[in-house]
Amino acid sequence: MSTHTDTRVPVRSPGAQVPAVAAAVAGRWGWRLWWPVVAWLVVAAWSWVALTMRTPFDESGQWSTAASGAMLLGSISAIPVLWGWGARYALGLGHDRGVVFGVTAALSLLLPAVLHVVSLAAGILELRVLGEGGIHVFALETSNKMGTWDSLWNGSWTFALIFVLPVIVGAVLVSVAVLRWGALGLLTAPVVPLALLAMVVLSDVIPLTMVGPVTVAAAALVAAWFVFRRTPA
Amino acid sequence: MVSYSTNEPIGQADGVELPLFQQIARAIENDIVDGLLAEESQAPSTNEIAAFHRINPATALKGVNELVANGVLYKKRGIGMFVTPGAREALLQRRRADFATRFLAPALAEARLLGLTDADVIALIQKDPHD
Amino acid sequence: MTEPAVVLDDLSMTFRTPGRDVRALDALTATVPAGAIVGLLGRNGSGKTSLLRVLAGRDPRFTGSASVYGTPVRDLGRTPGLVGWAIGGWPGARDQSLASLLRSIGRATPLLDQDRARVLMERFGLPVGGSWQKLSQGKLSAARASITLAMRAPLTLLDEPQAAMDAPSRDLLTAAIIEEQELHPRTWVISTHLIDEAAPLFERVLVLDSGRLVTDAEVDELLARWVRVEADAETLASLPHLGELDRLGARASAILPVDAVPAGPGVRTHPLTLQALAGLLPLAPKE
Repeated sequence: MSTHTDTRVPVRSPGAQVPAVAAAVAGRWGWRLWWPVVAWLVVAAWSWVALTMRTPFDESGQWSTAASGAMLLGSISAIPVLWGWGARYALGLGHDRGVVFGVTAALSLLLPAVLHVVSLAAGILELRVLGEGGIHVFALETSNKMGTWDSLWNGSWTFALIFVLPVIVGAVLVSVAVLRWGALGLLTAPVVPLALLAMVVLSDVIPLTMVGPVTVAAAALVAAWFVFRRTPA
Repeated sequence: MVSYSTNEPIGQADGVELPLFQQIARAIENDIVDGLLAEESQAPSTNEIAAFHRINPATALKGVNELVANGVLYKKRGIGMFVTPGAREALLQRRRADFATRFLAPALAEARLLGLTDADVIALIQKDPHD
Repeated sequence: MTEPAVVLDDLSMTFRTPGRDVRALDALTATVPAGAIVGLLGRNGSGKTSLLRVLAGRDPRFTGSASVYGTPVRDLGRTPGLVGWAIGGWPGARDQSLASLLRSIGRATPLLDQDRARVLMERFGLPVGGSWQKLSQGKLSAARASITLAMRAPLTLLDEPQAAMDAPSRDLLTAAIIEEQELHPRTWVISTHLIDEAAPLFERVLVLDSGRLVTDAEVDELLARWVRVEADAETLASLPHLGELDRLGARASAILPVDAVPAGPGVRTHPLTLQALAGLLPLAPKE
């Protein structure tokens, strides 16, 4: 019988752990990433049925922004799901805390962006295919029905940066606070409107639109890391 | 723990429980004394002992090493532990020397407690209770 | 001298709850030798689970230091698989089958032998392809133990592994631990309340009481130091003993240090079990 304990465990650099952590955070078949798309399609189908049944059918076309709104809501709601289910599971498996934070935070920022692109693409495609008339279920709030593709694109991204980004990082902070302190963490919820306020003020004060959002977002994420690093798994 | 044909108790000595590794050593010694483990035959491995008794393999090893240190077992490199030739006789001699203190003294003390004289005890011995 | 498996130095952990502070761990200083099977004993709430979580690198809220084979526990993320510990219930895993959970764990701890985990689970009668949610507490314990054993981690931690298990399963677990120790020797720290059942496994024990380390000793040495003595009550009351006297008329029974046993007729000594001793060690006077 050998009495020598083999303590040679392969060292895994953080980079090597990213795919495994991403798989754990995303869940089975990545459902935590694409469930808002399902909601979006369901709402779009519902709008289509509702609009079809409305009379009279006039030349200027029927428009519903319900689906894009659902996608927005879904992409924000996906964040607490990623942290409360995904990150907690990844930590429970034994993954490195720093990697879990990095991956989940990255997904929290990227996912809404990707979903927004999907929503935008559908809206633009629909506009291109149907023209002015017909039933539009993928319209966006910032749609300028008479406008060009460029203004649509710019308008939605400005909206996203100033209004959506603070909500995203606020949601990250609240999710992390709940992970650390349980229900007590919900007391940090006011940070969301505060971040929103800060962002609106900053974008008025500082002419360059990117500086304000990036500063607020970075500060919020750094705060979130300090909360997360002492979270027990 | 069960004791074998020899009445040598494994679990206790003088009212104090023996450490587990010594109990293992005693059990193997009993097997040798009873002739169940022949000289030059292979003793069970520490893994087998540990699995059989559901004990820590390190404890089993300690017990076996005690027997190696006493010369009861010897190690054949790469194969295992074997019973030293002459081990049975050596164990019998050791136990003969201890017989008076281990078995007779308690019996005589009990006899005294019960009010039996030495003559009574001798008579009992000659009658041989095994009949 | 090989490197010790665990080194604790003044390890403390305090939880601040509204109203009072709870000292889960109180200035623990101890060393666990490599390759040993160590029992972690103590009452509920004595800090056993807290200590195991710190050693597994899962709870960073401590002061002082703890290291595993020279690696501070805060850095265990760099060497996944050095410490094996299966978290209870795997939050977020409810929707998964045991097989897919094994794959996820395998990605996190590269040393996991998934086939071995399946073999062990089958021994316990667990349905490997089945859903997680339908498992009883006992089967959940068996699944956790099977996975932890199959992780083959150089430091393997088991937190009351036989909780809710029936007797045949507990026997299976003991046999599996011994088998694993022979196949892939490692250091084990196992907390349990079923002390007498587990005692033959342990070379050493650590006894905790309210977060403090009360005892850190070899089992053989510990059991050789104390004995249960039956004598007349007056005599025993005047001698150093652990806990209370059990009285029966004018006679009494108590646990005494071996060198304090009185001589004379009417004094009987009985061997002690680890379970009986462990419960009373917190009452022993400090050396």
